Amino acid sequence: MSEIDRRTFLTGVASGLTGVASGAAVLNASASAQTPGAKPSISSQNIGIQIGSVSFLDEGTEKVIDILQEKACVNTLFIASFTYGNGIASRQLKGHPLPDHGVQAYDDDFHGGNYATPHLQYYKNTIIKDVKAPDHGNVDILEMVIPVAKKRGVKVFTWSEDVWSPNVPNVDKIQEKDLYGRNARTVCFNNPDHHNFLLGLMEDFTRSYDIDGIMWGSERYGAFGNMVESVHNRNGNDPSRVTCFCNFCQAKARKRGINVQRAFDGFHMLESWVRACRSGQRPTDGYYTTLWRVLFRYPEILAWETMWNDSVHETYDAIYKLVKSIKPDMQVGWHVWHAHSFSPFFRAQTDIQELSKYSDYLKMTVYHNLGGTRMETYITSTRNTIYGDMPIDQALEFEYRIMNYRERGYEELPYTGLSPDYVYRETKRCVEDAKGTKTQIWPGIDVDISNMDPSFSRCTPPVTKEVTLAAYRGGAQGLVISRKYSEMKLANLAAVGDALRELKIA
Amino acid sequence: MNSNQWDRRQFLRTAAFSATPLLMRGTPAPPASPSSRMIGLQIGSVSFVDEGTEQVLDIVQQKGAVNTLFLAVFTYGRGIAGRQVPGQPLPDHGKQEYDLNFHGGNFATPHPQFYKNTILKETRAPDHGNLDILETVLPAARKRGIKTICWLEDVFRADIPNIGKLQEVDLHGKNATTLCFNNPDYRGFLTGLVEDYATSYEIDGLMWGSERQGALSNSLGAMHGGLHSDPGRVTCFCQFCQTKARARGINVERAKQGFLELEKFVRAGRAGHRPVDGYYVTFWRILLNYPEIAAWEMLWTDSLRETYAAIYKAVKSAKANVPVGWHIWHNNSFNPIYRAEQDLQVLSQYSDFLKMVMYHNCAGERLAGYIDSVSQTIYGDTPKQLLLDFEYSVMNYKERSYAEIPFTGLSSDYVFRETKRAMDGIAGKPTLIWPGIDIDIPTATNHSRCTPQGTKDAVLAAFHAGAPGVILSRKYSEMKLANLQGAGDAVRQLSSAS
Repeated sequence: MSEIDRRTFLTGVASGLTGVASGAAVLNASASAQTPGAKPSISSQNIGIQIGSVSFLDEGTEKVIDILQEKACVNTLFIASFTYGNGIASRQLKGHPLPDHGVQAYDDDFHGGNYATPHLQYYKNTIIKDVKAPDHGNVDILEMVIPVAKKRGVKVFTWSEDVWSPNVPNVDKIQEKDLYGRNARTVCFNNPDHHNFLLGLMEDFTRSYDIDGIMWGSERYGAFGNMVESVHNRNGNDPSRVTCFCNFCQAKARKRGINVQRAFDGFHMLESWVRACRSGQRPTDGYYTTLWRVLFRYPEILAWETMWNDSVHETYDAIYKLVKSIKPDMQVGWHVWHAHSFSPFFRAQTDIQELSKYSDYLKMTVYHNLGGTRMETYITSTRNTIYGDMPIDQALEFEYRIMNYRERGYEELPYTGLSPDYVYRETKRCVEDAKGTKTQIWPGIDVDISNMDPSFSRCTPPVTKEVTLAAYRGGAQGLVISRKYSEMKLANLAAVGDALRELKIA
Repeated sequence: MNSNQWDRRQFLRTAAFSATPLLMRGTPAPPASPSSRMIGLQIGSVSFVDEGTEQVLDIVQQKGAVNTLFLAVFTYGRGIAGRQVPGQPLPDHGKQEYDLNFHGGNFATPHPQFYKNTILKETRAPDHGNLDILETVLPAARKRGIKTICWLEDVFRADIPNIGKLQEVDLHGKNATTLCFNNPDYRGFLTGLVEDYATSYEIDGLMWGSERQGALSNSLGAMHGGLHSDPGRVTCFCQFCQTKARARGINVERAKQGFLELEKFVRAGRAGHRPVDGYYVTFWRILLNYPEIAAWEMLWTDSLRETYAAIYKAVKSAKANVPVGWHIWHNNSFNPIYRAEQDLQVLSQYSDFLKMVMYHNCAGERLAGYIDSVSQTIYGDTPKQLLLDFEYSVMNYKERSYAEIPFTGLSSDYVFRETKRAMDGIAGKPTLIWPGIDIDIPTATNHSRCTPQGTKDAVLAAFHAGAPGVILSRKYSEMKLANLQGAGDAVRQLSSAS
């Protein structure tokens, strides 16, 4: 691991900006920070940015790193190294405005996979072998970027996520099974071939490249959560497609003392409940009460949910132990799904004290702008299930109380996003949760995340700056600018840097 | 059954609804005809002793239009037996003094042959010497066409011989004052007791009630008065329950660990220590980490249901035509978890009738008390008024504000909605819903009191919602005659209108 030269970084920190009071002032400050030739500052704290390989290829490695250092004081690249999703890799999503940098075209032929070079010796224990991303020919993004970044004192983390393509050879053999035994698109954490693939991938990254850390993320939860609510689907998910009920999960369940047949029966009853509720049939005893009735009748539903969640955490643990056994100084951490801000069930399962046992850091997603539509989506998805008894505004009010932040009304949310106060509160909560552990909290902040209706709220420099300040006011020990450089406007990126300079963090 | 007893065919006619899915019901019951309405009154033996059987029957018939007595024949509690609760104003009838030496027990005559399967044998109530209240009241009531239903409750005292062997065991292994439904001696006692009543007397029915819930709800203090509940004293963890749990596939040790975690959560909440991730989230974290908590809660509830079934079977075996039903605790209106456990479709399998408690007046302070308690535990994130609004939504009634309800009680609309919900919930089954109506159930000083008009409105609301009967509660010895008259006025108004 290359050590960051603090003396170098501290040079130039003395010119921190203070007292920015208006949007115009922020923009002026941004402009001054972007003066060509200005020496970039590098913080002792981790100032990370998520970035896909396409940006380096489109804009040039040196140039991209120049921009990131100069505008946003970035000292760590989270390079999308393994994913089949265009949320963190590829250019801007189609249908959304292209940013003011990079190639001004959409990459319609995005494929995804491993953007480095898979070294076969690490994939002996899995049937998943053929994962090289074909998007850029033989380019090995780590081989290409690491030397340039190191030269500038910028760290490189691999950033991998739990998003797969159904076209990957043999992927069907590791896919989850739904309640009716059908293959899902998602893959199962209890499937040895998936587990071994992940370990092989992380070992490959760790041994084959001079990286400084890894981050992996899974934006999923279990069958119970997926049945009764959704962060991404206003109308909720198909309750028959929840996962996972594969043979590996069933065997694990039996070992944990769960009655598999009763679990199936319970989920079938829950499915009936969800379908009836969504079809407009109010239960005589109310939605909330009858949900409890199903859970009491089949506590195996809760046991299955926890088993799913434990399987993710066991995956974290296995990756952590493996990477640390190879390079103890590597920083290993996880991208924690935005659902921790919306779903009390997912937050309940995201016990930071527990996660700290195998986490050097946690990127806690606190996307403020996207958070507006996501909150609106989440609460809408529960309007005919958990919160079916009440008007949606009342449900939102209850939600704000139990999640401990207070934002705009239901109708406004998609058009306003969430505020910097949300970022402050969520950061503070996570930092307090991690108290007494080694785990650092690096909030993931939203800079132009685009997967939302183009008519909804947009990130702006003043708010982006406020959000960054809020994260630090909440006690952040680092930052991960998200989701990907290729969708970010430079003015918003510069606003992050403005905040960091004002705080004298950079 | 003689002509004074219920005609079950008539009941079945009023309950002939279309079958509906398990969770979604909604077919309202057709209203009962005035002549078939059951107007019940809960009454303890002391009232007959103090005021005279004939005089009491005169009063309850004339003022309250009562046609059925729910005679408190077995209890050690003074909620349904004894005179007015000491400290509360004495009503305008009966002896004008408190019975400070109230003891309780079986107010009829225990016949030993029915208690062979239990070590609990000495339960005769000593309060009135050798008086057998059933022997005293049954003939007089029958002569007037009044039916008599035995009314028993799950309340015991600690000095009954052998009671220690039947008591529940709490989370830390200490005996509780409550008895365990899985203890064979308690089950044997209850079935013997009801068999004794059904065999030894010409009764018109039997109602038993247990105002208790499982360890989860008790730990959370999810009931009125729950603010002072001790999460370390929750029950039951006796050997019988542990054995039953293992047979159901529950990991006993994990269940105990889960309840210990819950105890810590509740104690911290009551001490004002907000969990970093919030109360609601932290509660769910414990529940998800220990689903055995939910399994244990259902074990307790199923044990209560099995007790219902055993009593039902014992009575029916003795006299097939004696109706059997249950008093369902007021917590059914407050705690959604408790309501979740009161699945009327399931209960209907062994219930000829259900007395659903919907005491409108005392409900005000009781609901506020529930809110006070759970606003420190599962719902600690929410201010009390907001929590009350949430409560109103999930329980489907809407009343006054948190600050007001102790001083106003709940309205007759609450009675209407709760009756209708129960009627909808039992749709397709022959089980009869008899709302329990509040007449002067004691409340704290300065809190709301029953009025004749409020009582009348409550009774009218129950009938308007389709109830085929009502049970005036809790006991005649605490009721003011004007309020009893209010109930009777409602019945007479409905009769004259039809």
